[in-house]
Amino acid sequence: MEQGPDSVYITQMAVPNHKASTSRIKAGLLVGLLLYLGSNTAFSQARQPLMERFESNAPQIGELLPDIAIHDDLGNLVNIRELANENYKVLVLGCLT
Amino acid sequence: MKLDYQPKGVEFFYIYKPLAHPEYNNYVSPFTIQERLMHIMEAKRRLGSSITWLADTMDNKYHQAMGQTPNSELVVDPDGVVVARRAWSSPSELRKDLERFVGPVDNPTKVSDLDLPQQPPIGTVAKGIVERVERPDGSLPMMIEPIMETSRTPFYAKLRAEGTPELYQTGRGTMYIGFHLDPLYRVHWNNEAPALQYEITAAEGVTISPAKGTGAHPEEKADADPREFLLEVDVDKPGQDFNLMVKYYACDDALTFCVPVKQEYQVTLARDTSHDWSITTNADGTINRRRRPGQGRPRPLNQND
Repeated sequence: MEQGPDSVYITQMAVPNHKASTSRIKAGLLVGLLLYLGSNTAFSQARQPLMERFESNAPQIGELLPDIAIHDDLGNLVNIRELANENYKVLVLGCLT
Repeated sequence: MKLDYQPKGVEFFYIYKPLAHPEYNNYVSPFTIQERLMHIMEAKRRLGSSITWLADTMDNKYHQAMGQTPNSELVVDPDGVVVARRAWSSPSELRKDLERFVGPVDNPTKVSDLDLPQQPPIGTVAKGIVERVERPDGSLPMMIEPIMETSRTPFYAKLRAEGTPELYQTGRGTMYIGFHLDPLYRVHWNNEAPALQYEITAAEGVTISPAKGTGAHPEEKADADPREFLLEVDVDKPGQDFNLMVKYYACDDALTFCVPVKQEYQVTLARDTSHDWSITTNADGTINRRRRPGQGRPRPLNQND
């Protein structure tokens, strides 16, 4: 997995301007820390291996289909749970690319 | 698989999701549910499959529920309970599942037994006229939002924006923007009209250079190559937005219209996790593979017929 320069941003935030007051330095560090955590969390989520994402998000065996709406091929919205009838079903995600 | 198990009552569904690899075979991501349904029509045409298609909503709820995986597969029992699941669709594993839950079939159908009328991608006016821009290694899609109310026409040319991981993490780096004609609209650039122009408007603290640009303007009267640019970005914090306006002229391949188009986007300097890396298709149909983060190759739609 690619390792970005995650520490650089907070390091730059931590380098004080010699004219800045102590309180502003602390505020800057806090903002930098929050931004670092936020951006790193989002970026880490994007990089999280595919299998991990599937394991932690997809319904487990024994659970119902998620309670969400999708479109039929005419564009009508239907709750995916409404697909349930007396048959087994296979659902595969896909696209043109 | 469908041929074997549909007579036993099993129903098969493809659920159309965001493009895993934009630009592969020149397809670009749809902006509206109507365009996603056009993609489904195109998938039916290309694959010749008779499997029922469903479409994820444009906020990609099902795709997110599956962990934003490109080709995951669920087997669901008559009560709607998941009885088998996998991150990558696997015909051989699926067959084992169905044999277990529904029963085996005599003489299972093989792919070679199928005679699906597969079609090539949509052809369009000559490509390979305008030289492609080389994106930085590791570029990944950026979040964009077309501002639909700014346009009275479809987004015939669609913005694709990409940034390097460095840009997403630090706010400094190179950004790619490209305006790609959507092949499903069967349009081309009218080079007898003024060239495509873009203009970026950004808040203080966001520096993007160059903020304005004009696309290639070849001598050929028409072409369908993307109009592409590399820009340098410097922002005081990552994840900020800017507005991008584009003007161009588009003509349909049947030569029934040539119209001026002006459209706008809101672009966020953050990774779009619903799409993976783009795969550039050259004019001769070959693939231009760039070094990119992660491993893996694009998987075409799995044929479960």
